[in-house]
Amino acid sequence: MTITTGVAARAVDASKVYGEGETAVHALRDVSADFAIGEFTAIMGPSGSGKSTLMHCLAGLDTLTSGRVFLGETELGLLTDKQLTELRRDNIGFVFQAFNLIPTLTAYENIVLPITIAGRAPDQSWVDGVIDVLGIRDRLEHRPSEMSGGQQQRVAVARALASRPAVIFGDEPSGNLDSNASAELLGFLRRAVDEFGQTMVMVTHEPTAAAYSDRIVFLSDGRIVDEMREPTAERVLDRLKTLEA
Amino acid sequence: MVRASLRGIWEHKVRTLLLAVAVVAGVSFVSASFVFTDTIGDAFAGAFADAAAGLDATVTIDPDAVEEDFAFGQQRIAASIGDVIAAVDGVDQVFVDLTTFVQIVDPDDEAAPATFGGPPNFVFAWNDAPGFFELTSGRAPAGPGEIVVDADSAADRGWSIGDAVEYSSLGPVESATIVGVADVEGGNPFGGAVFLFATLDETQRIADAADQVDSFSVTFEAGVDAEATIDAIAAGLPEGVRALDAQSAAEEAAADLEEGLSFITIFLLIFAAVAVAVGTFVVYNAFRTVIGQRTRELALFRLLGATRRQVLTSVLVEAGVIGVLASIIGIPGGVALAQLLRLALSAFGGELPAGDITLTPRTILVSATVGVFTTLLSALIPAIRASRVLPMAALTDIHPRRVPALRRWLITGILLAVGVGLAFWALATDRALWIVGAGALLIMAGTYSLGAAVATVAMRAAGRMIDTVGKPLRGARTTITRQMAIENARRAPRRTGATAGALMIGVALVTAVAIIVFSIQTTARDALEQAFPADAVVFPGFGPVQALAEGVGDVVEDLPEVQAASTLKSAPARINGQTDFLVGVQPEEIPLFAVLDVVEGSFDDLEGATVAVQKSEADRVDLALGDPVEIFVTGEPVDHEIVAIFELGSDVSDSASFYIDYDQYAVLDPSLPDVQMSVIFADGISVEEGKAAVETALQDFGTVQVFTQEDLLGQIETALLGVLVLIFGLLGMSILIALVGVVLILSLSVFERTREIGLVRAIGMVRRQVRAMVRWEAFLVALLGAGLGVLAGLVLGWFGSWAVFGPGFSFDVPWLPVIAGFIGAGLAGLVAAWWPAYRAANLNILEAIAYE
Repeated sequence: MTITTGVAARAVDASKVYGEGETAVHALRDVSADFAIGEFTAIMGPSGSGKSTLMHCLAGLDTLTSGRVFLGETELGLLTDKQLTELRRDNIGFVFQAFNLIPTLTAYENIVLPITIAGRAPDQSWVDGVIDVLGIRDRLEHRPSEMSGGQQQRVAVARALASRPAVIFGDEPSGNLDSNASAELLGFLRRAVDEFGQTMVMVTHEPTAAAYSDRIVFLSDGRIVDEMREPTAERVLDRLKTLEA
Repeated sequence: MVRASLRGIWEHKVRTLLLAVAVVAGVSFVSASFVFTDTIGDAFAGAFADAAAGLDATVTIDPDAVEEDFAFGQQRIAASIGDVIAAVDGVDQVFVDLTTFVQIVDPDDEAAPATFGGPPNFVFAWNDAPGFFELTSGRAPAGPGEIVVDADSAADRGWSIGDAVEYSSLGPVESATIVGVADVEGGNPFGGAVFLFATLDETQRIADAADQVDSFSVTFEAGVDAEATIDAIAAGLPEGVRALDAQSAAEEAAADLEEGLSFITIFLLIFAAVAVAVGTFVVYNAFRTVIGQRTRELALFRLLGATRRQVLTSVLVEAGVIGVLASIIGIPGGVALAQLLRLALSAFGGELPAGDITLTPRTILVSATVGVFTTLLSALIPAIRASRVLPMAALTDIHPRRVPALRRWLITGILLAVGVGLAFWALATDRALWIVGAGALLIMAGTYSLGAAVATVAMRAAGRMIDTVGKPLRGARTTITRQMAIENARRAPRRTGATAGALMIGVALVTAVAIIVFSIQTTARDALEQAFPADAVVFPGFGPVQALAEGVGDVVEDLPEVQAASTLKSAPARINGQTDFLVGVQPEEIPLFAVLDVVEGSFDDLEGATVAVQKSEADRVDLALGDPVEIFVTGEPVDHEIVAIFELGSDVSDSASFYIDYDQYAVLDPSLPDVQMSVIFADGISVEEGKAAVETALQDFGTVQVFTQEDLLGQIETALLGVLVLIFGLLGMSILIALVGVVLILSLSVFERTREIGLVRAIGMVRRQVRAMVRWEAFLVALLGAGLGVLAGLVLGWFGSWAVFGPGFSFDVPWLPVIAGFIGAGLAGLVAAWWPAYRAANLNILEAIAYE
């Protein structure tokens, strides 16, 4: 299968079933979706809609029951655990909802961790740029326990950006933050897409967060039920209401 | 609450099992000590009771009388006493008991009469007493050259009636023909030893004990008053001989033998104590960690209305179950260990009776108590801490309690200073050994506490060291795993310190023992080289009777290969009221035996009732030239005038301090045989040639052993090696427990860091790196433990050598084994990390990072 250039990640007929027989839960049912390079996509949907599962499968953290997922031109299902791990290390960035950082390492050590794990030297001018954009230069020698939640999440974003990955996956990255810190963080993610051309895929259930994206994919019952471009919080909220109804 | 904790045990099967294993070794040692002692005690008691069955009285030398008498050969009593006993009213039969030792000469084995301490072979005077051996085939010995053998040995060695048995005692090798095979109910109680039976006359001849016997076994006529008859027998006995009812005599004899073996029990109980202590630390550390991890859960219980007592009980129930489990595994383990020890001791030539394993209710009770109570005790402090968890802790973040660094250093410093000070003071002022032991214990406690104090610094230092050494060899990929491992070890210094501390105990003891043994070896070598002027020495070959046949000195001196040879006498004597070794030697031949400097007087005057005294002893008891020294060997004490004061060429603490003239010793005790001969070979004769010549010449003089300097060193080294292997084997158990502790704590830490491991896996750490991270931590913690252990071991070894040798001791560290052991401990840590590392590397990433 040839992959159209300009697609950073893609799911083709992706299905994920937990359990067997009568008790089987279909988390994903034949989901096909493209995530374009340089685009900020939000995945939304009610609890149990399969949005997290889709993200985990796209990011190589989980495997499909059937169907295929690609990162660039690499089909993830064909990789060994080691290859998959190295792919995540070199080509994917993560921002989780909480517990993003290793408590024993300083902020800077956390930022360059995937690069150090790979045994490479960081691209210092790039990393410095990221640090300055995120405004965490004065926190570099601090441990996570000495930073606020917002600062910790910014360090996590810096880590995700540091190795210039093909895609950054966010799993409710602002879910644990107050509204100010949340807006600030989402603003940084937006800037990363606009200024660095970073591809971003974010799972969220908050309309205000989703409004920062270029495009929203709505999931329900393991299926893509809708898409929305250039969303605003109000439109998202309306759409969600009809979705849950 | 209790149900919750029982379910917790079930859910953490591996953890529960590992905790139980940590306690098992201690329980095993305790039960092994008792099983071993009981089994041997029962076997002895059984053997002696069997022998006494059917007898009414036993007439023996009075052990209280023997104590005051050091003369050789006096353990026996006159054969004529038998007639006195037989004449007493009510006495039915009198049987004569006499036992001596021989060396069996095996024609197939050229080097047969070779080793000290091989199982002795007995010759018994044949008698018809009830409970004695009974013929199973053939007939009783009837004259010279006839012999009966025990059935077990006959089977072992393939002997049958008509075969010849060659043996030697004090004279040349003799041969006797087997005329019968005898057995005793239950078989030969002394496994391995050969029993030969000869006529009384023959036995007396072999024993060089004409008209002498060991004891009499007496039966009474039916219906007589046993007590009155025994009193009547006693009335006719000479002083120093006593009559006892047969049952008491058997019990006494068994008790004596058992007491002789009690050192084994003490020895085992010491190792039991070490194993229990290490197990306690491991369990305490694991419980502390688990409680820390369960704080939120415990707080939830409290929030839901559980009382403090219920929380306390729930933790203690878990500990109790582990203790019971440990006892269930540990007691059979102890039986196996006891069996193993018996085998090991038999292999070393120990004479232990055969018999069934004795497992008494007391053994089970004591071992189970040790198992359950040590576990409960180790869990008590963590349990109390658990019960103090506030309900609010369920809702807020947990801040681990930390002992301030300053206070920890203070505690460590005080423990170490007091420990070292106490041991030093006790040794310098010649106090009781237990004070030194108490000092050693404080040093161990201080080092244990030091572990937590230095954990953070040591981890970082180790990291730097490895960086410097390893950077050119390894890339950044391993640097980050190691860095994270070091940070992990540093974040809970108490936990790290306690894990290392458990390992420290075993390593410290092993190091100290190795140093002491090594120092003994060095001292022995120095002593031999400095104080052993002869080319070879000749010792009697076997058994408790240490005697050289008369005339061997002359035979050897006449050899063309020999330039000079001389014998000496040596035995304990009572000198000025204290027991010490007394040496009898020809004054002009002293240079053959010892390198010594005469400080005052002259050995030329050593003649008649005169004595030469070692200077250190003379100083100690304040003796000067011309002073009288009262020497009591046998008969009456005799005053000897000091005519010489000398110093030995080397400081061997157990060398004899009193020398008298050889002929004078013969006057004091005519029956004392020569016990040692020194030989100097003629010029141009090699040590091997000379030794061979002496051995050939002495072939007909009973079994002797000819030792060159190298032979003696070899003997010492072999013996020390045996001791070392045994002690290391026993201490190895406590090192194993400590390693189980490493497994436990690492597993718990991995569990605690599930989310972190999930995170690093998600952002790209491959499994190999995760495993490496856990292994690095184990390696460094093990090195910390081993390092502390070596440090403590050096200090304890130093004090130990001092305690063994006294002041002026040599302190010799076997650096190569110590360093090898240090690195070995680190590698053992890697092995211990296998399971936790596997778990960490294979945990499910999604589950690990799932938000609660």
